[in-house]
Amino acid sequence: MTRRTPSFTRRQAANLPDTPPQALQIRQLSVVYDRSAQAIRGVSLEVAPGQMVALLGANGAGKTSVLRAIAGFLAAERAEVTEGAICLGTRDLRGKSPSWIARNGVAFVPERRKIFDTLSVRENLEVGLSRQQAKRPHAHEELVYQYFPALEALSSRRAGFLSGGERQMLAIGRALMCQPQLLMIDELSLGLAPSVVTSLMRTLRRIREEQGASILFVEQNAGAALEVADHVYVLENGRVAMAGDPNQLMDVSEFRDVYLGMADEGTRSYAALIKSSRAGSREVG
Amino acid sequence: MKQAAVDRPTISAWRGHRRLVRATQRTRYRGAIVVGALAVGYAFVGSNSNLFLGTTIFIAAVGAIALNALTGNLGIVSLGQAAFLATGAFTATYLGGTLHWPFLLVLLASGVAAGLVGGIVGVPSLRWRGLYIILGTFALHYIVVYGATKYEINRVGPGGFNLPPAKIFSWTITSQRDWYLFSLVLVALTVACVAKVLRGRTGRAWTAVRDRDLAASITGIDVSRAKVVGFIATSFVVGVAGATSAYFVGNVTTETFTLNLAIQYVAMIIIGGLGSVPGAVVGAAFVVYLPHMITKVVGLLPSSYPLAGWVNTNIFDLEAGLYGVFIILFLLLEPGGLVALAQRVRRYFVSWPFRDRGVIA
Amino acid sequence: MGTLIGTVAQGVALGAIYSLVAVGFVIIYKATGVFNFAHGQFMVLGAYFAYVSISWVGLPFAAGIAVTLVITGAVGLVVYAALIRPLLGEAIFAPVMITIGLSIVLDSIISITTKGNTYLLPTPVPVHGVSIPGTTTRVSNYSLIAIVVAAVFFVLIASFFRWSGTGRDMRAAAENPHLASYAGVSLGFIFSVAWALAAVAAAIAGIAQASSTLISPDIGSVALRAFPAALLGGLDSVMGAALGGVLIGIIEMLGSQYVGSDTRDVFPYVVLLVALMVRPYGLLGSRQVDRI
Repeated sequence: MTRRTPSFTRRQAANLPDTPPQALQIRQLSVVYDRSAQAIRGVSLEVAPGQMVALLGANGAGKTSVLRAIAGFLAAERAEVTEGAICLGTRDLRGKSPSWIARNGVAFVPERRKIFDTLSVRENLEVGLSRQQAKRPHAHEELVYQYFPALEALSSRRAGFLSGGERQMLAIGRALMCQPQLLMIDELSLGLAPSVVTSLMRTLRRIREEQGASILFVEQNAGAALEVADHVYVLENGRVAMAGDPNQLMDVSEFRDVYLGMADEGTRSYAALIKSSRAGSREVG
Repeated sequence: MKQAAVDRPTISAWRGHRRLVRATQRTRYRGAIVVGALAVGYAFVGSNSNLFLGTTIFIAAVGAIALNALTGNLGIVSLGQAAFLATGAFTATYLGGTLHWPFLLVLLASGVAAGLVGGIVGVPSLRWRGLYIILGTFALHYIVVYGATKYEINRVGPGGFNLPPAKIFSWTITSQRDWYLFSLVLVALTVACVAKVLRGRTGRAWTAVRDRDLAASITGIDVSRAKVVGFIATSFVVGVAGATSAYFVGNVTTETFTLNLAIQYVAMIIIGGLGSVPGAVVGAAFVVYLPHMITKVVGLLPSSYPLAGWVNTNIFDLEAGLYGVFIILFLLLEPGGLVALAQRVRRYFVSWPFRDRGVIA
Repeated sequence: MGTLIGTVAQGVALGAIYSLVAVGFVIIYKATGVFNFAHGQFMVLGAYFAYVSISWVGLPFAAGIAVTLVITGAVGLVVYAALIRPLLGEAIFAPVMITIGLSIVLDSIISITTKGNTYLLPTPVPVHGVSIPGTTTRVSNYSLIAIVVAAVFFVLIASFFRWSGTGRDMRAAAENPHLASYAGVSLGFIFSVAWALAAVAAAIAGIAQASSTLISPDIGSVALRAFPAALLGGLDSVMGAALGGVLIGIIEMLGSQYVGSDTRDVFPYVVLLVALMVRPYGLLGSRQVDRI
């Protein structure tokens, strides 16, 4: 049985505004917590429409802060963007509330506490649907089940009882319900078995191709990220240290040693493995 | 344009900082001495009713300083002030009135009694988060007042207890001036002790507990112990204030110890400035003096003025309501209280006309 | 035995009022994490507004009640917008303190405008009441109505939270405000709805209380005894509010009957203190998880 992949055309049919995908642009971004701790300084990056961009770096390098700055800070947090610009296409995101940003094209999956444990799977997916969209939430739920069929069987289960992989699927699914132009995911692979991570990454690639959404994701597992990313930024101490095409980046020895973290010989073969994996998956599509 | 975070300070910057701190401390001591001298001098100049007012303010300030340390520094919001005052006062009536213990000993023992009650409530309070502590002290209030009422009715009846005069060795504290000077010494002692404790390691530990329970415990501060000790210590001070007030007024009834009284003390520390010892004193003065100030202002209005009549009939409700208004106003507009307001005013004048220049506060 | 049943029945009736008040606390706490000390004053406002709309303006009873609920809900909204919203993000103590200040201000406003007069709420149902078979206790009609009203209200509220979109969003925001924001939920809207709903609940409780006694500022003191009810049930559980309210009502009446009528006022607080020592999250509440 074949099912037509839901995509932009059905969205148009649902009488939603036809917004073409936009590029995310960040220029010279600085974020300060509690008016004292500088998290990132002068960070510039860009995500072109339909691109999958990886943000790498060690703990504390500022990767999560970048994502949270884009997704917006709650008024109650003591964090602020002190300089720089964040634009999704022509829309300025800086200073807007997280809920506004979510309703205007950016969906964020945080690293921890990424789903509502006390709600059911279906309720998780439906959170935040404005009354407009709520008229046909099922249209979007089907979209999510397309990518994560396992969730459909679990739709009335309390989300707190899901396994790690299922939680991550639900979290991404919830983000998809916002119909994002930009999907941001923080530490997708944390706590998940490698096979699950691979499967999720491949699903993300499908989402990217079929929905046209751009994906900006933070990863500590550099290897997994490099297999799927179109472009990579590396953060160190709150600044962009390296950026570029993954293939090129893997030839840079500093990058290999620090982020792929293996002895020279092992790294070289690991790098080769990644490269061939990328080439292979590109062919299969 | 907001400034970015400060880069790592150099050694010379640190030395300069220490010099500034020491200079500020010298000014602080000098200021305190001047104020203290003025206060003592007033004892010989002021009218009896003003001295009475002064004594009331000083005794209230003792309680306010304690509550301020508990709430502003340790972060425990307590509505139990009236309960601890009552414990102190009623213990004083028993020890002083029935057992005829000497005055100073009664004060200490009443403080201990209040501290005990604080300990009983404090131990389980370890597990409570901020909101639950508020509710717990709220319940404590009603329970203590109930107990005190039963005690009063059984022993004495609704008239309340009377206390013998206060004697320290051969000096009987009778005149308004006597009481004024005694309470002045008491509050000065409290200010000095509490300020010293708060400036030291205990104070810093308390601030850590206030700001982030879990983070504090990770840095090695025993959060539970700090909270319990803090609760007991501040209750002790409040008990002493309650006992002193009992001797000062000469009569103790449970009617005085209402929830509104506890709220008045909270108003004192908010209006004065949370976390600031002089702020607590200023706040106490403000709250105690407020009804007098209103009466004076109303008295200024010509009696033919239509509003004057209305104000006069509703004076009690207006006074009560004003506490609430001030709490709201200060919380919304100047959470640092009068102390912060004063600093802001001073900073404005100090930097004028160079308004843009930041001042090292 | 008859006295026991009668006392328990009275306790349930009293508990119905307590649970109506307690659910207001729970709604606000669950949504915004704030405890509203001015809740009792909302009750009194509800009762007085009802009196004004029915006796002075002359609206029929049902319309008067409806108007009162709308007005009181609006008051709740205004209180949230003016006093609570500016303080979100400060320590929990700040918004709680401001509700304490508000309760004092409202108290004095009420006192000044009513000058201590009490009023009788003109109600369509006569006051006699029903005897409980096998006892000599009479339970007034109003107590019965209070129980019914409370039950209906609880069903409505529970359904709202369970089935409606806003209710679901409120549950989500209560569990994880950040994530709810990232999902597009407007927290300001959620908080406003919570405060309006809680004010409406308070108004209903106030009207119910006033129907069986008189309209006076004392109505608000019922709220003070509802604190223990809310806590006993669990500050973040709507059903807990119902359970806690009824339990406190029964305990209070039993204490009054069997221990001494002057203990009536203090029993709820003893229960509160014991609950705090033994099980602070209440009977049906959820344990809080600490995060650094």
